[in-house]
Amino acid sequence: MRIDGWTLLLQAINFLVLAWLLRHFLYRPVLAVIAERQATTERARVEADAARADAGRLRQGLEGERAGLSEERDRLLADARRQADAERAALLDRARAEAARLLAEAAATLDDERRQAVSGQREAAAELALAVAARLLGAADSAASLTQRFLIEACQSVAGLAEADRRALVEDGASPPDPLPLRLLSAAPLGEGALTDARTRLETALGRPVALDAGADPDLIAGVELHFPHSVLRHSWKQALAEAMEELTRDDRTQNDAHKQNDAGKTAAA
Amino acid sequence: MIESPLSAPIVFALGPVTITLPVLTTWGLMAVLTLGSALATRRLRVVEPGRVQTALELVVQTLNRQIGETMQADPAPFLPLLGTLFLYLATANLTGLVPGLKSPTAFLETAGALALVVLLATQALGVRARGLWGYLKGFAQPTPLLLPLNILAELTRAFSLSVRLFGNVMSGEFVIGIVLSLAGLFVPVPLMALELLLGLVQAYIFTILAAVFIGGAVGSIERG
Repeated sequence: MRIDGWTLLLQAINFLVLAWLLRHFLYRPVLAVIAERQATTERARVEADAARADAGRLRQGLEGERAGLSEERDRLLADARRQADAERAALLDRARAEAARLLAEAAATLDDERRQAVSGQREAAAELALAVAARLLGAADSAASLTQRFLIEACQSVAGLAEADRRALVEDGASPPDPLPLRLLSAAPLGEGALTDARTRLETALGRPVALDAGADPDLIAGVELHFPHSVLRHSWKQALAEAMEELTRDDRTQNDAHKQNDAGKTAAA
Repeated sequence: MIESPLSAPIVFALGPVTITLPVLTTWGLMAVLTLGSALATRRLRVVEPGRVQTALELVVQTLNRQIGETMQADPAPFLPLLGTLFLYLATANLTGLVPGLKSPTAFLETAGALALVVLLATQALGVRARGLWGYLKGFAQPTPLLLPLNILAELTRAFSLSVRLFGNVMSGEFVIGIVLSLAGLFVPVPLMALELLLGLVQAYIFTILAAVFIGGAVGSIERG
């Protein structure tokens, strides 16, 4: 066995050449593409990390905004609730005031109507009472005697007047005619004696002669009316019942007027 | 006189230079490896690599990782030398399984040449990494008395490297040849399968030992 020096040398050279060739055609390009892929992967990883960090920051920001929105929503809800409560309270107050006003108006209306009804009933009752009294008194047989007595009382009333009042009955700045004309209306026709007695009494009371003009007026029921030149002296049941009627209805009218004035004042205030 | 089967047969001669069979086979392997690499790396893609590219990347990355783990250093400067050593040895050892071809590593010249390259590369890289004086001082460690023994060990390591490779590949081919001549056509198939495994194991052993020697020389690992 022998060692071939040329083969040894050539094989060593061959190996070195092969190493150079593979370095150029195999290792370098393959390592380059591996490095490039690793760089790409690293870039992608870095970008993914950056994207994840951005997403984290974005998420934190959104969570902050969401918390802010929640607080804002709570605040707005609280404000809205407060406003709603205030408006509801105002509405309730207005409704209560309106209800109170309506109740007051209704009560006033009812009171007014009740008063009007009572007044009307009272007037009707008074008229009925007067009609009953007039019929009863008119139908009485004593109307003539009552009339005569009323005549005497009328003459006594004239006599009982003060001097100035008596003068005012017959004078009006000028001197009255002589004899003094007097119109005497009676509920029932008077007899001559009653008329003479009446003339005498009146001349005595007035201090001058009197010319009586007698007449009858059944509406007087009972009693007389003395018509002086400038005034009338009424002394009859008709007058008495009229005064009674006036007296009965005076209170109702007064109260109605007062209530109307109060209602007008309340309406003006509202 | 009968030619020794261990001698490299001369194919032709260029003047005084004799071109033997292992040299010719090595040229063929070089052409195959280089052209194959050039074609395979012609269209490399970063995204969605093809099967060939994936296989190439797997081989290169595996070599890179093995060298790095063995030398405990950046494998990039040593990949062309050690990676080519493994690829050449693997292909050369398996060439013997192809009918009509003979493995170049079955000749002592090829194994010796590779061992010589490793020896010289070890010295060159050691000097470059540690400086001439620093590298030479390493032979006198731990005591100058061991200087002759360390130098002898450096030479014998390379010698054993070449003889191990040559002996294993040559013996495997011899056994297959003898069994084939004695038994018949298909009997040596299990032995060929074994030779396949043996060839890869020898390539791996040779490359790893070279990495250990170089790593010891450059100081990245404890000197063996």
